[in-house]
Amino acid sequence: MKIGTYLLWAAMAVGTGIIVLLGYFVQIDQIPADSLIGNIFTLRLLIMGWAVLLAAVALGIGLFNLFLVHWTKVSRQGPGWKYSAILIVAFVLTLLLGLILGPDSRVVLFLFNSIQVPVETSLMALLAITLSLAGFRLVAQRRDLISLVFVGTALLVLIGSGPGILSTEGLFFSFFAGLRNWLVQVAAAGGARGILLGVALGSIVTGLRVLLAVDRPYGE
Amino acid sequence: MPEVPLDFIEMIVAAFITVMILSYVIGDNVLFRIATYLFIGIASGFAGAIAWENIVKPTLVQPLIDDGLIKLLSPEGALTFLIPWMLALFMLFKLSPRLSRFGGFPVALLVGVGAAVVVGGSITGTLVPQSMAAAGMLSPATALPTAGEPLSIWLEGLISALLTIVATISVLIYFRFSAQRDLTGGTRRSRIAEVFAYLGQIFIAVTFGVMYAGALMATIVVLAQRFQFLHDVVTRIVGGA
Repeated sequence: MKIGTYLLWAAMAVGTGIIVLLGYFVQIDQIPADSLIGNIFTLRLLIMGWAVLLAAVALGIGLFNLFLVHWTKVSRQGPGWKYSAILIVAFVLTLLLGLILGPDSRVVLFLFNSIQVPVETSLMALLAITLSLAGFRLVAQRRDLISLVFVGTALLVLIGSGPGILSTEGLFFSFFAGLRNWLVQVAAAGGARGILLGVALGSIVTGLRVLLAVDRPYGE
Repeated sequence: MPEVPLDFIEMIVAAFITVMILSYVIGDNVLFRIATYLFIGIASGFAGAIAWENIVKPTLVQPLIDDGLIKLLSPEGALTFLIPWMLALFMLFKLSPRLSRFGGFPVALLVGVGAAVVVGGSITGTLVPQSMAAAGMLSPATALPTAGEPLSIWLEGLISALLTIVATISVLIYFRFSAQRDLTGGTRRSRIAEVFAYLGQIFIAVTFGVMYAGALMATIVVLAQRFQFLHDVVTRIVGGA
C-alpha cells in the first residue's frame, strides 16, 4: 500500500513536472491546438492553474497554523501571550474585513497604509543602522584578507557614490567615481554573474533531482 | 466639532507605528514588539484575503454560484472545477496529523510544478542569458577594435572583459565542491583549482561589498525619508493643518 501511494505521488510529481517543463522549450504557437502535443499544452495550463490554487490553499493552511499556534499561546498564557493576542486580533480583523468588504476596500487599505506600509519602510530604515553595525563588527572581529576586501570595496563604493563624503567636483572625486564604476561594472559584475550561474546550476540540479524522483519532499 | 479627515488619522497612526519600530535603536522593547506582532497579524490577514479574493473564490466558489452543481457533470467542468475542488480538499488533510498522508497527492503536484518552474526558469532566465552575455564579451564583434577607435579605449575594454570572465570562472570554480579523494581519505583539488577558488572568494567579497554599499545607501535614504515623514507630521500638527 505504501509503495503504491509513493509511486502514485512520484508519478504525479514527475508527470506534471515534465509537462510544465516542456512548455519552456517548445514553441507552443507553432503546434496545432487539436494535436496530441497541443492537448498536452492545454493540460499544462490547467496544471499550472491547479498549482496556483494549491499554493493559495497551502497559504490558507499556513495562516490557520499561525492562528492555532498563537491561540494556544494565549489560552495557556505562556510567555509573550499578550503579543500573540494582539496578533490574533489584527489577523482576524483584517481577514474578516478583507473577506467581507474586499481587500481593496477603504477600511482594509486604511490598515494597509497606516500600519503595514510604515512598518515595512521603518524596518528597512532600521536596516541602515543594523547594516552599519554589522560592518563595524566585521572589521573588529574578523581581520583576514577577504573581510578587508569586502569592507574596502564597500568603502570605495560609498566614497565614489557621493555626494556627502567628498565634494562632487575635483580630481579626487572623479578618481573615486571612476574606481567605483570599475568595481561595479567589471569586478562585481563578473562576480555577480558567477554567483548567479552558480545559483542557477544548483537550482537546476535540485529541481532535476525532484523531477527524477531522487528527492521526494512530498512524503514517504 | 470639526470632522477629522481619514488621511489625517492614517498619517498619525503611521507616525506612531514608525516611532514604535524605530525605538528598536535603543534595544528590543515593548513598543517594537507590539508593532511587529500587529504587522504580522495584518500582513497575514491581508495575504489571506488576497488569496481568497483572487484565487480561491474565482476558481472554487464563483463557478458554483454562477452555474450551480450542473457544472460538475460536464467534462470541461470536471477539469476546471471538480479536480481543483478535490485537490484543495485533499490538501486540507494536511491539517490533521492522522490524515496528513492523504495530503501528499496535491503536495506532489505542487512540488512537481514548482521543480519544473525552477528548472525552466533557471535555464531560460539565468543560465542561457548569463552564459550568452559572458561569451558575447569576447566575440569578435565586441572584442576586436572598431574603425577609428583609440587603442587605449579598446585595450581598456578588452582587459575589463577578460577580467569579468576571469571573475565569473573563478567564482564558479569556488562553487565547485567536487574534489579528488586521496589515499588518506581526505579530499584535494589541483593547485590551479585552489588558486582560482581563492581568487573566486576575493571576487565574491568584492561583489558582496558592492551589494552591501548599495543596500546601505538605499536604507539610509529610506531612514531619511522616515525622519522627513515624522517631521512633516509634527509640522502639520503644530501648524494645525
